[in-house]
Amino acid sequence: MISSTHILILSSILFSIGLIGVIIRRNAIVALMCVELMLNAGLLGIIGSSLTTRDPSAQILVLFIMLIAAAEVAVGLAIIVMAFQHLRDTDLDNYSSMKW
Amino acid sequence: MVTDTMSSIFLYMILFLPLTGWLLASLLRRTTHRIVIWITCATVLGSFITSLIISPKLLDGMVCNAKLINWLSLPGYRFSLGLMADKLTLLMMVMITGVGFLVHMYSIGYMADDREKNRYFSYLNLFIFFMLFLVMSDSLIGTFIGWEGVGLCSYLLIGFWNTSPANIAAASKAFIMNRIGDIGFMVAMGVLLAAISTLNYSEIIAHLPDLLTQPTILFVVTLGLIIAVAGKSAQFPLYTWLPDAMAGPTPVSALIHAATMVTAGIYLVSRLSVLFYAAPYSAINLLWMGIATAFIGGVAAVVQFDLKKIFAYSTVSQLGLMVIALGLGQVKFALFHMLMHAFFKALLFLGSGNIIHALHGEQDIRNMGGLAKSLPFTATAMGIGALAMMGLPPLSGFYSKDAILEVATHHAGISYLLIILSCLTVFYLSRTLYFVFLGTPRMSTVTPHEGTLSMQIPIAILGFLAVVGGWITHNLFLAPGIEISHLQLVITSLVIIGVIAPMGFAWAKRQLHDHENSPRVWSFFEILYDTFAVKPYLYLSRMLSIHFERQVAAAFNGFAQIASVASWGIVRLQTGSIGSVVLFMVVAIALILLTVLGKFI
Repeated sequence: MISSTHILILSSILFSIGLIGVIIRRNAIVALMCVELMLNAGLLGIIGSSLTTRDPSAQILVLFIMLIAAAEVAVGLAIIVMAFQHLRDTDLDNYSSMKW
Repeated sequence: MVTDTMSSIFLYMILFLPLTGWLLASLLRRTTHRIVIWITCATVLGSFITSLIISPKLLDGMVCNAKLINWLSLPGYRFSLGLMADKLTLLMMVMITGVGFLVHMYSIGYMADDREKNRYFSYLNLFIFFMLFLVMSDSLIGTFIGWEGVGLCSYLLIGFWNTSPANIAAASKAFIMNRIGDIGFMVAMGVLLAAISTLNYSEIIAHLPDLLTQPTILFVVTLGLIIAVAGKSAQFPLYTWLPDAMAGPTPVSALIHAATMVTAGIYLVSRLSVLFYAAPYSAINLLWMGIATAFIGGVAAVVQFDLKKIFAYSTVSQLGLMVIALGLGQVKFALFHMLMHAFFKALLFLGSGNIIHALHGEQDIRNMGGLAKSLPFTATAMGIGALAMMGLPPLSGFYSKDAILEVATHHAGISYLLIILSCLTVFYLSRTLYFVFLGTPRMSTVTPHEGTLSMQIPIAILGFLAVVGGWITHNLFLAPGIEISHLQLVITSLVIIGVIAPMGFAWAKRQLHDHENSPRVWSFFEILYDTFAVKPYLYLSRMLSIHFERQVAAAFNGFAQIASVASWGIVRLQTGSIGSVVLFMVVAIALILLTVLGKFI
């Protein structure tokens, strides 16, 4: 049977994959997807721990966070599209001209 | 209700084989095309065979159930996903997997030159999975998941050739128009949940006596669902996305935009038909929506010059006919016509795929002509498909169309409308056939040739079904109680075809002679949406950007200035390389966590 430990382990694996992806991948869209993966790993963690506490409000909380995350992705993609229009490139290394 | 293990396993197999195919195809997308094509075709075929195996049980009237997951449990509400199969589900399953397999097979030849075949086939399998989930779910919420999923796959496949902006625009349009319908679906679900706190089909129907005491709620629920149907099944006034959806590959148009996805609305109304017939005004709303759709589609098909758009408008018109049947209270006839339509419209689309393939992408019927000589197989197949659609006895369309006509004779005005509609159908089909297959060739330099064997076999099978399908299955749909006065209907159909088809030919000849251009009159609703929705939105965005955004931006720039002055010095730490920044961040977080946790240890 699947217990909350298993879900937490899965969640941390997903989080690590996302984290490593953000660090090593150069494509801005892939990096954004990895950020989303980390966020969703966090949500999975909430769900996993709610299995032990048996608190249904965790599930509603997750639904709300997903809603906000959808809005946040729209902003993230808009930033990438604008940056792409400026630099004709989705490589994150070439975005360094935006530092100070 | 039966939940024996064997039939649950069959249900799981039917649903999850295409999903497995999609997963494997996505994972193996860098390998050779041959493996992916084999996997995707085999899984859909497996699904089809399994639904045939389970069919005797379901035809006996058994209802099979299978559990999936308990999705969300809250105090008072429980959303569990499960599978349910009865006769209606069986009809949909066989149609989806059967036509789905034929289209997979056809695509092998049609997409042979495409470099991204693996992506294409994996999308097709994902579509079949979501469509099966839509029809096999035992609750509205599961159906909604499938409903959104098929919308996504439709979007992905319309925009499959994503290098052309026109295709992307068509895909986005289909998606947005469908979202409008989805709002209706969500409102219906919300109201239903508030009223009876369940979305399970059998529980909804069990709660019908409660709902009957609250006609307003019933009205709002069914109205929401009708809006959803208008979006997905391309009904008036949301039908404008379907003609544009023809930007996708032709087999996709045959599968998604003629045979399966657009019939999801018909399925939804059939599934909850007791609700629609109990609610005030719902049947009459369906009836008028169907009539408006059928006529707009039929008239628009007459003036089009794009081969695929003619069939797209014809699909709109035929879907309208199905909704008319639903509005008249004849669920079985609507489903019968849906199945027959799946046969002959898929046949017509695959046939036009052959033509487009042979002419290297040419879709304008003014640049065709005389193809009966060079493409005899396609010409025969499409001729059969067109005759079946016109309702020539005893082909498939005759049985289903004339069953609807027969019911309509009890509603005097509507039967005249339907006869006019049949005339329109015959007219635009004969016009198209003349343009494409008769007359003198008007192609530029190409020598057309028939497609490969994998393209011809599906067409042959569909052609066979278009001929005998109605005769084989009519006993399943037409209850023995309903007498169909065959002779009268046979004569009516023959007279309509005999009189109108030559008129269609003559009209085509005249249009060819006059070199007319495609008129834009029938895009009235497009202009309406453009003027009242798209343009005001763009205007508002531009005004906000000019008058409002600058002030906001100025304020934020001020904050940014303060921050940048304050952080002078520390800012040099930032190298601009994202990797190192994230690395710093992670190390810092780890250090913080260690110090915090260290206090406890």
